[in-house]
Amino acid sequence: KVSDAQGAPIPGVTILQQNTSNGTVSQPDGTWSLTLVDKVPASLQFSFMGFITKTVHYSGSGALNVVLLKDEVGLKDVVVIGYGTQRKSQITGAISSIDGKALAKTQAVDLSTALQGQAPGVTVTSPTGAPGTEAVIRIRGIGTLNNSNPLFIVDGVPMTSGLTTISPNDIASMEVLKDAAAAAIYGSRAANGVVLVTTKSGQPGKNEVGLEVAYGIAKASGLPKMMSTAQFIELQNEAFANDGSATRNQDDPSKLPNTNWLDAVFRQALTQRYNLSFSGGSEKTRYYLSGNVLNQDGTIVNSNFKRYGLRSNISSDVKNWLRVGENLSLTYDRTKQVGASGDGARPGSLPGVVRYALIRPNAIPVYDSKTGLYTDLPPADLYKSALLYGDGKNPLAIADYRFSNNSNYRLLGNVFAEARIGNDFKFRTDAGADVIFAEHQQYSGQIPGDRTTLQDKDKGLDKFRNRSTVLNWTNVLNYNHIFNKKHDVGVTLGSEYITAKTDYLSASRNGYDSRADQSPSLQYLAYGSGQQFNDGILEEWALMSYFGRITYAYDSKYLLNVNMRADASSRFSKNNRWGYFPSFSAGYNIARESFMKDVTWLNDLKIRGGWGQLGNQNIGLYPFSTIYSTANNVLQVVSRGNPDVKWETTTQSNIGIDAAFFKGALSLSLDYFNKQTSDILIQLPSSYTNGDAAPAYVNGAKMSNKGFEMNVGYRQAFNKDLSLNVSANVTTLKNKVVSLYKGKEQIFSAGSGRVILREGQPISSFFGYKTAGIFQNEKEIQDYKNSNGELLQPNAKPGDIRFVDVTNDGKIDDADRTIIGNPNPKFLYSLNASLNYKQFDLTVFFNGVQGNQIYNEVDNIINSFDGRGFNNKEDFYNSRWHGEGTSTTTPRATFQDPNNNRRNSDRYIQSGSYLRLKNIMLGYTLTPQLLQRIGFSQARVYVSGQNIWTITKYKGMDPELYTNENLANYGDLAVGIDMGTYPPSKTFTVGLQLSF
Amino acid sequence: CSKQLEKYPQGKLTEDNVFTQPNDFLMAIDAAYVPLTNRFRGEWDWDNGSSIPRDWVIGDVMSDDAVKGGGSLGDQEDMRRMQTFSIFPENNNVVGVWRFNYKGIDAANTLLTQDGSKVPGLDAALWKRMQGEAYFLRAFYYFRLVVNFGDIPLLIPEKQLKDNTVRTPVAQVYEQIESDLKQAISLLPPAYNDNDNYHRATSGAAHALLAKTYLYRSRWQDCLNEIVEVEKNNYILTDKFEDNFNGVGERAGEIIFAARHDAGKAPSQGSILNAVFAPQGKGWGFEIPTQDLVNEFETGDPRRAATLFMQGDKYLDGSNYDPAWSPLTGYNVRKFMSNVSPIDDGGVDFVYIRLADVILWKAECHANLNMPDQAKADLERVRARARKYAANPAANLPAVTTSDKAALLKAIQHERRVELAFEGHRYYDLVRWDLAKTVLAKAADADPLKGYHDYGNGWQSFNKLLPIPQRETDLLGLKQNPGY
Repeated sequence: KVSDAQGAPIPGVTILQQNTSNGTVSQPDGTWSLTLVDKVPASLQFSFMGFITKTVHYSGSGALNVVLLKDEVGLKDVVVIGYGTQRKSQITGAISSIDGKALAKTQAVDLSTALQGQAPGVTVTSPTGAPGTEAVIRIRGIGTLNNSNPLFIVDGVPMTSGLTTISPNDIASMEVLKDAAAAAIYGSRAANGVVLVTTKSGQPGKNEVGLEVAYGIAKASGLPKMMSTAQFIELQNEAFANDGSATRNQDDPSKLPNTNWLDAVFRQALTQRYNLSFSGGSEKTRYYLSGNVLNQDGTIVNSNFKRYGLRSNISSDVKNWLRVGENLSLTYDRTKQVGASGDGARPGSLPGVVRYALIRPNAIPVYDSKTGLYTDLPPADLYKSALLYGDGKNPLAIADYRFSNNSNYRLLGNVFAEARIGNDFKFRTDAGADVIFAEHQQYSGQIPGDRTTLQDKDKGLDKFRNRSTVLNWTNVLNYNHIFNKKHDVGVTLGSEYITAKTDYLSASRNGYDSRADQSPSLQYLAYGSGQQFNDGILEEWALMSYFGRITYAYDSKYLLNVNMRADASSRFSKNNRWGYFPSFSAGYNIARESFMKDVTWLNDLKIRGGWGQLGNQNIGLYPFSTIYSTANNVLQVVSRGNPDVKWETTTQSNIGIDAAFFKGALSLSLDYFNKQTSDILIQLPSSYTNGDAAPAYVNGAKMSNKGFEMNVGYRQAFNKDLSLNVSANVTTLKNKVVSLYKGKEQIFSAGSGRVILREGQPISSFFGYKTAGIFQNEKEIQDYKNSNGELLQPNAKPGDIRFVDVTNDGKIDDADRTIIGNPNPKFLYSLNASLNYKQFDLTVFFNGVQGNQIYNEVDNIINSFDGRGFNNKEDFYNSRWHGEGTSTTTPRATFQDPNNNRRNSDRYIQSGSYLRLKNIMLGYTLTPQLLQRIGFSQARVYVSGQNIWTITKYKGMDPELYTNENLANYGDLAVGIDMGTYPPSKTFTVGLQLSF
Repeated sequence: CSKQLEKYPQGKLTEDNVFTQPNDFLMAIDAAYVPLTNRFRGEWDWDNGSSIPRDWVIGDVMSDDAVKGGGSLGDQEDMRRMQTFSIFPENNNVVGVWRFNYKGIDAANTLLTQDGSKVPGLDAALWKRMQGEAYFLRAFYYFRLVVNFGDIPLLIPEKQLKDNTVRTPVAQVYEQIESDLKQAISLLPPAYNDNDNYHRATSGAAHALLAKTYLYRSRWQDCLNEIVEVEKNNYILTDKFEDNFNGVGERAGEIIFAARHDAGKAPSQGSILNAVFAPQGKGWGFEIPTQDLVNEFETGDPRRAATLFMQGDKYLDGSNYDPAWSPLTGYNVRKFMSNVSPIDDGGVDFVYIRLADVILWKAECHANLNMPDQAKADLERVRARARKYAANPAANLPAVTTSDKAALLKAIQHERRVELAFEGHRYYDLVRWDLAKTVLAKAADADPLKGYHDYGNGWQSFNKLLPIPQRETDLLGLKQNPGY
């Protein structure tokens, strides 16, 4: 009998007598019998998908009971590679495989976030805590100044974003192709790595219904404590006094409200997830059908993400030489987004609601006591001078009245036919489609109590519908033959055509009356009686490719792999259209050498190395063309073209070792990579002296990324009841800008923050003034002078910041700015551990980043007194300078700030290192006896917590910023500048998994 | 299959098909006018200076005529920093001034690099006129840049001047301005008689702008010579002063060059300054007139009521003006304001050069050339127009009689202040006259909550020029102006 660790029978296990073709399959009750050929004792191999293959020596008499352990990490035999599969032992590239079960365990609601910490070299960051936000994924660092998103191939269909529509529960496995050897077969789209996603399929003879239900409660975390009304007024009066002004805020704080605005807009939010699946099949036909529902409330009122997904994966052998099938998913998702833009005072900074909740003084009530409506501008009758309480908006009013709905209908999938021609040839043709209908709707009506009374003709409805289709047709011919039992030769030839189109259509109308304000049923274009606007364009690109691969293995010991892809892209002018991307790699399975046979503690040892070139074509669709706009009846250049732009090329070398020890209990994988990207397409500096048009691209920069990746796994079943499975990975990254166009450095700004591209320095190094404490008294200011006796900071007052004269030229100016920090982490790490004891299982997942810095631009707004009448963190009140010796770090409060204390400086640079317990989960599985009685094959309940514990010195809301591209339109160039975001949340989840 | 890879921009013109139709040229020259208008409804990118041209922030708010205003003391903090002379290179108003003017230059250059003579259907006379407009506008924008920033990158594609990383010396920029204006004078008509085109640059406007550049360089005789050319165009002072600012007199003959605004058009051609300057509650209440300016008006001067609102006035919509609408001083701007809805779709043209301004330049030149009688005659032309509708024409606004040069200049300074308030000239005049240091000094009795003498640390001589925007010094490696 074969059973699992809990004692449940396993049907369908393949049992083979080794070195023979003699075998059988276990019955539904787990029993089996086999008549042995040849002599006893014999070796019997037990294998079943999802379990660790076990070999047992059978002495020849009596019943043999075998317990198979679940293969949690998945040292799978076969790995999905580009346009095919390969035995793991023969892989020569840097590929990380991730089992779908591990993804489902993370409790992440979508595929992008589920990837975090699952593989070395893969960095995943949630740019905001808003529900429905897609995580940003970077493989082996930021490889280019352009779009660094990896390419995703879901069942053969390419895509670069939209992972939020995919439920982690539908995933069988993911393969991350990191180096050129592995990824070069994807040529011009592979420079940032490729992620192959394989969705689930049914297993013959195992017809099963699965159900999972989970409920989570989330609470915003990392919110700062803001100043009270009394502290706010005290500080304003201190600032007036500091400025030498006789003016005072004469309000009595005890007679004013003390509103906690964060409490007003944040809430406990509920997440519900339901997954139902049917899977199974016969020898010839397999099916997997599933449906999932997700309803995730955001921690800010009125924000929400809903997703409904259906999947159907079916394949069948219609002839013994022909297999056809499809993998299709149909999803609908809807994101309800609260006012995500600020008041424009600082672009990209804090989404509206969060921004105003932070900066609105506590002295303003939520509702006006006279009218009962939302307050907007500070109600004049409450204060002696309402001008002192800022002009910010009421965040609750924005959350309630300025939200938008974004929805997507998506069809993603393929149909395929695969013919076997003789024993050695296989031909497969794949037609794939990714079709998205996206809709957006926002109604801007009257906010009750708002400063602006909108006339009907100023109320408006904006709508757009975009239809995006990406179609691919892929043909692959495979040849595989083993000559003389030793020479394993494989040849793959293929062609691929991809065409993409996005059709934009937008419309808006003005002229809505008060009935429309009250009733969503009137918020349609047809009801708008005023001005009408509409717009529409079409965007297209296409890619035509030919590719090939030759693999050769001698006796499974010596491995060789050659790839080549030729891509022609519509994004380049005719002369530069074709790009060629070769790669070579080799491997050596030392453990298979006869001289290693006696080394029993070492089960596997492989050395592999490779070199190759990859391309990048993610640079806008028509960089060769100068584009003009005729909007508003004027003709203007929108973007300038450069017909000479050509492919950006990434050359990558990789050396790796894979090893397994002690019968696979300990496994180790180590990689070193060197990635050089040249001819990086950069836009010339977009100076306003050249008008507002986007400048042309030139092939101008070179960048290098080097690093180590290590993955260590340990798994051990100590006895029938106790087993442990640990997997840890570490990635180091060293990024350097090697050269820039004409050697010219570039400085980019995001809020007060500045980053610089400078040759020899890491990408986006922070650039600014160095500070040296606070002037404690007038004498210190007078003593800070140059050799001519001139003051270095003539405008400073006691309590102001002392800036460092870096150039030592006797004055503080632009030239004194220098590199003051690095947003690139030294290393990233994660730890996944699970412990099974009897019916209980415990999983913990830690994720960490070390050695990076963050420019806390949010503190420039809420931790630096400013003249706008906005609130500050209590931290500022507590740490500010207010007399000699009171502070050496935080300057005085001043409206005028003649010393420009708030200028960009190392004052806002903070450590971004963190270690976070991303997930902890405790589960209980019902005993087999009980399951049998109630007719289930599996039943498990679990509780889990996400993001519940973080160690960091960072003082902002969330240190998890690295690779955040949600900033100031500079993409990865502004990584590490914290412009404020929808805060992350802590979540507690309870769940139930059933199958029968 | 290579055909499948031919993908070109859809729904947009590209270099392959642009400037092949006469209308492209018209739309291109119209683009060159846009940066001097205030037509930017809804584009609120304050930080990058794209929301509104900021001439009024410098011309008025940085002077003694207006304080910033707005919804709170710190609403548009960067504007208050301009007002209080805590100006840093990051200030978004500085970016705005830079950006709008270079945007205009780029649009003019886009047209000037085309050859319209070979385009079928493009009338030769029209092409000549459009080139003239482009030369005029390029000069107009360069003049504003050189006055505000000193040495600046000079981009003149037809002379192969394309390097934006070098600051060209002021003298050379002025040479280019003069050469562009002389081109414009030779290419432009003296006037346009149709309603579609009345706002376009004329040869008179080019002469006037050239005169102004001489005035700013104290070249009094050159300035007078150009004014003679201006006056050949038969401009007149309107009968009623206020008709220049309420939409009535846009084509009456006093206005020499203005940015055109029309209400109720789609796409909008309205002025958002109508919302920016409107009182709190109706609009946003910026550019608040100071008590100082109100005091400057002589008793009975009808220009006061045409310039600003105070207690006792009727507001635009016919209601009684309430000083509580302006918590700082009790006043609001009236010039260029109209009663429209939506309120940011103002329909009044914004005047850049009008005859009264030119006549006062003339007075200033005459006074400086020790020709007091001519200077008095010039002054009297402006005062007489105001006097006609004064409360008591017999007693109010008497003619200036002094022949003392200093006293005459003082009278001209007074006249310019009341005649041209909120037209964006005052600060530049104070700097030109070397008065900024005394007038805009740090004041002990300053009260920011009352809009009283709120000059912060006061004007210092390096403030003569604005800082080069930090963004541009960073991107282009331009050297910063001293003091910043």
